[in-house]
Amino acid sequence: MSPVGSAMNSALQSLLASQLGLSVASNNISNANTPGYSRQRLNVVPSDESGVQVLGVEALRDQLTTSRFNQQTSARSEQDMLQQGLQDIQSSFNDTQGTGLLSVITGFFNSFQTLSTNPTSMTNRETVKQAAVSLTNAFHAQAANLSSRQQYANQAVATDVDKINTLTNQISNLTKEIQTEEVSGQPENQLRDQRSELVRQLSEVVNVNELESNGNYELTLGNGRMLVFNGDSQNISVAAGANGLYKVQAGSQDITGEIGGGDLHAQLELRDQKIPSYISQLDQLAYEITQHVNTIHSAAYTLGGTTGVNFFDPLSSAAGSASGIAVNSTITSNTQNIAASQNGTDGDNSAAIAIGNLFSSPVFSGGSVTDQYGSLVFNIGNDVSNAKANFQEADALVTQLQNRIQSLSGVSIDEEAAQILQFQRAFQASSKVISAVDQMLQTTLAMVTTSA
Amino acid sequence: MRITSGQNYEALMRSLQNIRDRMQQAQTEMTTGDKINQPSDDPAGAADLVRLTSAKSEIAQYTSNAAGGKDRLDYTDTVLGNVQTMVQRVISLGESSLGNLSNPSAYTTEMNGIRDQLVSTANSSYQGTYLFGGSVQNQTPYATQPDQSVTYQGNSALGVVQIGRSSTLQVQIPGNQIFSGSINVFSSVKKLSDAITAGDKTAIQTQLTNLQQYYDSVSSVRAQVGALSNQAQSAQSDLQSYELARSADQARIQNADLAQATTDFTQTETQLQAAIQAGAKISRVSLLDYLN
Repeated sequence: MSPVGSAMNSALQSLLASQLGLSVASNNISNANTPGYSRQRLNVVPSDESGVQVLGVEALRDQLTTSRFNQQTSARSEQDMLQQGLQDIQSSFNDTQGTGLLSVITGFFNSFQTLSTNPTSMTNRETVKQAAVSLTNAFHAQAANLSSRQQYANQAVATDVDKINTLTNQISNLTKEIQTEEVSGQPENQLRDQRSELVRQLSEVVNVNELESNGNYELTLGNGRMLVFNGDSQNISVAAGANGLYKVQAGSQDITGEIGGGDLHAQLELRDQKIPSYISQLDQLAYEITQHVNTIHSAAYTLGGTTGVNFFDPLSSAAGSASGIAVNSTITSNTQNIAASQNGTDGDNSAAIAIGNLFSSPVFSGGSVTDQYGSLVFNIGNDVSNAKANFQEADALVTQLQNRIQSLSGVSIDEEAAQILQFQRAFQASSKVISAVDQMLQTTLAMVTTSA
Repeated sequence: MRITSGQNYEALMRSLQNIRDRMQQAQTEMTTGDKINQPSDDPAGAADLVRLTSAKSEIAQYTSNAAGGKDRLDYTDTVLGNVQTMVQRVISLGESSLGNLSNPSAYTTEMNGIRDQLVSTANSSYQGTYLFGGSVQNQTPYATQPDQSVTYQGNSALGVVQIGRSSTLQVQIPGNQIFSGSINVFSSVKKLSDAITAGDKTAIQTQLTNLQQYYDSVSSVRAQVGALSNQAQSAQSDLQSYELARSADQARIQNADLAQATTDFTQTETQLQAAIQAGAKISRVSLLDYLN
């Protein structure tokens, strides 16, 4: 090719490359705030002959950092949910702000002390009955509250499983599209960004691993169970388990234990670990109060001189005691049946004193009744405080990784402005080359015309 | 490190969030005056507060028991004072009768009336319960029999109330330690009245000596009641000082350091202003401003 023709050609290539560069910059700027977008760069090399050759448009992303980011996103979202769920529970055990069981437990045992000051007074007996009813009602309310939180977490498990299926379906569809489009050899940057964003959203729900090798794309649960393989996705489902709570299934296999991280794992932990542990501590407390009070009460004498009357309906075991604790109907219907006397005379207050003294005696499995209730409050407070600390730690890591990702893949407006300037100038320069070549050709043509 | 516009924005949002979080914490402490507003603020502190709160209500109950017990003891003392006045009157009637045995009914009528009064005094009740029946409450402590003798229907139980984890206060003295112990006041008065009617000076003297002894024995019971009342009094002031100590512990754990909270709040406020200004400046500076 003649030097003039070659100059024309390379100027043309440069014009095209500059326009492409401008369009890449423009695309970057328009997506500067798009979540999950990775900035793109025009890759060019010097052409074999002369001029510039466009290799393609590359997206800048670091798969390793992205997958660490996804792991931490799972951890953060799990701790966030745990923290919120536990906060809700702790608000009903906030004795310093007037909620919780402390005041009714205190009131109950103090009412027996009051009864001891005048065991035949019907007013004092009524006080004992009212205090006992308040105590049982408070236990029932706390137990109902905890079990409704548990049901709430159970519903959330089903919702999370739906979310996972929706996301894995979208991811497999995108993968199918990406694989079809990329047959040409050019990376499908926009679709990959979209998929990356969906995987991040999925990571908030459950911990997943992404693996792309030899042209195959796999998305698995933490332990390797396949959720997406290329264009196919494996749906998971929920089914009611033996305890009435949902188990997570793949096909007919129970995979509840395989779930790690994310909102789903937080819901499972609240539902299967935290809440049951609080319920059982509450049950134990209600059970021991019932046992200890009944032991003294049934050996004592009522105002009519009867003995062997239980104060609370007897409970067979600790499980379910918080919701089952109830004052014996013989007592609620007639407060004369409250037994305050140990020797059978009406004015004896020994049994009332003995029951009142249970309040401070270390006969409960956790010390005194207050110690035992105090450790429940401590456990809940400590769980919230740990979840908070874990959340802050995971959040700091997520921030750090996000910064690293942003640093590589984020769009800098300043940088793009400089790019625009650069390509604009290159375009202007190439135009000048073309107009110079054109003038040269005209001059040549004029020479030909003159000589002819 | 390459810094992008997104990072600037993210960093701004994050620091604003952090500052607002700390401001809210300081603000809650300032408005409630409490350092622990929920158990997670300090789980161990919250558990301590549960124990302190329950200890305080326990102390309040013991205080109320002690106060009630003291009232009952003081009332008992008043009643025993009345008993002494009546016995004193019987003695002076008996002494007068010695010089004028010709008209016994001038003495015996009043004496028998006093005896009935003594029975009803021994059956006194306080807030609906008999003071001197021990723990028997379904019948009066003393009953007058058809033969005019007065019998004790109560028992020897000493009523106690709890005024501390391991301390109790005796709040009642059974009638068989007061009215029908070694000397039965009712039969002494009856015998004295009978002796006056019979004009038996020796018998009158014997009963007068008995009644004087009885009077002294009531004095010693009153001394015992007074000592118990003092015990109740000093228990109350002990309990009060326990309660103050518990309140101080509670305040130490629970109360926010207001000066600290206020300083924190002001400090975070300044930080917030600085962060907002920096954010506004950064987003205003762009290369685009210098290109045309």
